[in-house]
Amino acid sequence: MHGSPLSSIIQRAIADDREALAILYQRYSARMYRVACHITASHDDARDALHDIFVGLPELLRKYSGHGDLEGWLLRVVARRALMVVRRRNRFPEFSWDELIIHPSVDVDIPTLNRVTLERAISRLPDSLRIIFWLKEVEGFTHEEIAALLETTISATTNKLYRARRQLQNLLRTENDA
Amino acid sequence: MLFRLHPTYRRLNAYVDGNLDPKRHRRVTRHLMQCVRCRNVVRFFEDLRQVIQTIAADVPLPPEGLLEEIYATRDSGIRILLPAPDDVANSPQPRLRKTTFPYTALRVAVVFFLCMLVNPLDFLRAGRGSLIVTPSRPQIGDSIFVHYEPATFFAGYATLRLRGEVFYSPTNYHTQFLAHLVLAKDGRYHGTFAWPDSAVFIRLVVEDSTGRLLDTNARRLWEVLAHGKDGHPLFLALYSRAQALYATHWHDFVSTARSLVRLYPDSPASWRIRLQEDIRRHGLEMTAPFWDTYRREFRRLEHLAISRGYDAQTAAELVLLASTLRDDFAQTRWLERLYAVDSIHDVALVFRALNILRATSMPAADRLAMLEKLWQADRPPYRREIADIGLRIAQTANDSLQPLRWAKRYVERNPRAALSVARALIDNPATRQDGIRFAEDVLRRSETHILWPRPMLVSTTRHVEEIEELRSYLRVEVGLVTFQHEWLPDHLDTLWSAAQNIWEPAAFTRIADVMARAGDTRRAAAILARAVVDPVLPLSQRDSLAAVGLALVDSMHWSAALANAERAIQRHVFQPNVDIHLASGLTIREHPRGSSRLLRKHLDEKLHLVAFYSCACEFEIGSIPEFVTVADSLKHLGIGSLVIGFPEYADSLHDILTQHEFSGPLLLDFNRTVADAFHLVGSPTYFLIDESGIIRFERTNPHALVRPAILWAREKARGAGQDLTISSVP
Repeated sequence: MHGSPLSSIIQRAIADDREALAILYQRYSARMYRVACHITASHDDARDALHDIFVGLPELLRKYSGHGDLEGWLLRVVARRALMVVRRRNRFPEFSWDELIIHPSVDVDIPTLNRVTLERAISRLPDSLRIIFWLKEVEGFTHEEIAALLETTISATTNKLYRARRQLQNLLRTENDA
Repeated sequence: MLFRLHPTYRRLNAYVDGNLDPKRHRRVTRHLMQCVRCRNVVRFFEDLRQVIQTIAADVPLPPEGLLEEIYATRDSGIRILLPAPDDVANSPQPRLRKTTFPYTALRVAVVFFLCMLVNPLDFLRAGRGSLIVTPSRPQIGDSIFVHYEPATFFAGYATLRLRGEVFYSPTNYHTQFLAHLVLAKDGRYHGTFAWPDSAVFIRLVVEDSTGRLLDTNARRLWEVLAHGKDGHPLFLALYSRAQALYATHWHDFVSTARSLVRLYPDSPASWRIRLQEDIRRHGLEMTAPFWDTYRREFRRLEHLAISRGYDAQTAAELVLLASTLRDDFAQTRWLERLYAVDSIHDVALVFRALNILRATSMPAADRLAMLEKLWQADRPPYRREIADIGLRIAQTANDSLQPLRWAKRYVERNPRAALSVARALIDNPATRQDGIRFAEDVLRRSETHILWPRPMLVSTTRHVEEIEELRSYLRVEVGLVTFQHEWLPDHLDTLWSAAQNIWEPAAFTRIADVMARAGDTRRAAAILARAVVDPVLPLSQRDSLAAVGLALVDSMHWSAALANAERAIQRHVFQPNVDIHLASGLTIREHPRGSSRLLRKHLDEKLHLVAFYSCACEFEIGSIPEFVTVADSLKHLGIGSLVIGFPEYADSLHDILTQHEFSGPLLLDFNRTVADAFHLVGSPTYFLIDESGIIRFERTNPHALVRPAILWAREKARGAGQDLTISSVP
């Protein structure tokens, strides 16, 4: 790692070099922003999370051991930060009447999938399920990583992923019926 | 090996995720080849992934200017210290359950003790003893010696009883007491019985002297087949065994079917059972390549029958084999021969009934009349099939009596079908009410269905699933239908019993909703209370909201409901000023158990609950302390305060304001001047406006039309300030 361009960029970023920070931003911010968006379900919150991370990045990089993929490491950082935002937000939640809609139980009918309904259905998943669903299905996090991020057990994340799929199936079926 | 049932949802998930071991993966793959339902589920997962990827790719890039903002923040000297993901010291460890050997042993001991305490007999039933029959290959008329060695935990009975399910033919069987088993000095039980005349197959269980089952060989029973002099099991014995095990004990059924073909290759029935096994194993489509073999065998059997001469039974067997092979020509050919030999043979009657079923151009009433004649022919073995056909025709008739009549006939001969028949009757608008009563009756009797000998004869799992399925159907469809027809009160008991056996929060709310609308709020509350007291159930916002609200009114689990209410609040389930749709109309404060007092005691420190409480029971005064605090902090600024409330709370408001030593200027709209002028609805609305007309604090129901009132107050503040300082507390 030592001597490679990335390590020198990291060293420069640690030394508060703007150009190095900009390179890291250009290289990793898109995916980090995407993860934050998926977890927080809010562009504003994702923006705040990304802002906070890059403001604290020079100090944070000192803790980077150099082992493993930097992008994966940064994704875990942003996921953790975004989760903090979600938890804070949940303390003062905004009420949604959508939550009161009665969802029928699972049936063998398999709903047809299209993007619009799926997006709507995912947005209606509870945070705890939606986050795991995104992290696993889209970002490709392992159950071990998700469990470590969410401070829970692997079996709990596995179960929640199953529940997320099941609820999605329900929600999509409701959408289709409607 | 195939799945007897569908793989679980969890297993399908694991299959898609690639988390199954190779053996299980292969099993699921094989199941998917023949199961459309599961294939659809898997396909849904895969489609989901694909569509997700397209959505994921479309997330916009970080907003423009963010990098400059970051520079600016750092330039201003702000530093944010973030924990690193692999910073072990700062990151909480996953919660892992630590189990040590002594604790595990202790738990096992406690469970063992509790099992013994609760129902020792049920517990013992799980134990499997060893039962040996001598001779091992009995012939009809032999004396049978039985040696039974009980399970380890089982002792204390001087005598036991041996009961058997005795088959005389595949369709003619009954249970009967066979022998007493007496305890010998060696600790084993011994007994003797004579092989019942003309019996071919016996399945044994051990029971105590009162008839309670003690040992069922883990529900497999001990089987004894009558043998011939050549030492092979009799054809009828194997045939009876195959029929008894079909759809319940798959492996045993397969081995029996193969034994039949091996030992009795000249019997059409052997090949039919073997074909049934293949069809069940591979599915109809995949069996097709094997059919050439079966067709060759059929031609051989046909030639054999013609060359040797055939009786009605052989002809009937060939008809059935041709039918299983889907060979219409051969079936017609042998059916005509059967009619010629015995026109009222059981199989002939069934095929006549099938022809009546297919004659859809005839009126249903005429077809039923023809079928009635067949029914009266009194040939018991195939009456079940005829009743089934009768039920199907009756469902198309405009006569509500016929379906019920044929349903009863069919269920009488096939109790396992009771639930599906009930459902079919409910589906038919003409027989819906009868169907519901029928279903209730079935459910009431469902407990007796699984008494001995049923558990050994049918798959208990499947039976329970059927019950659950019907309950599910009842709780949703019947509940709503009956509500619409305004005879719900007659069926609340059914819904109540259904609610006791289901575990879905969505179903809870559905049933509770029906019950609440029918005025049975106590039971509605009790049902919903389960949604929060049961740790297995997800604590979704909707369910817990309604459930806690109602649990506060009447709960079987009062303290647990309160504890869960607190937990729900901590999870931010509740929102201030959200009305509880199911709890509306209930008056908590009048509840004899003093819910309001308990509620205050437990939760009055919590802001959210104060609001929740005030909305639920209309104690709006509950949110006054908040109001007072804010107003108090602002009064030195000379801020005007406006309260729109109900006059009946004036005294309480006075007390609270006095207690908090609040003396700021107030406008009290107890006469609802403002509220009426601006059509304010819902809960009272509180807000504070300062002398500039800026809203500093507001608390309102989301439905209330407060904006006009706020604008009005702001206008007043700008115009005539005295309107905001009319008086102090009355």
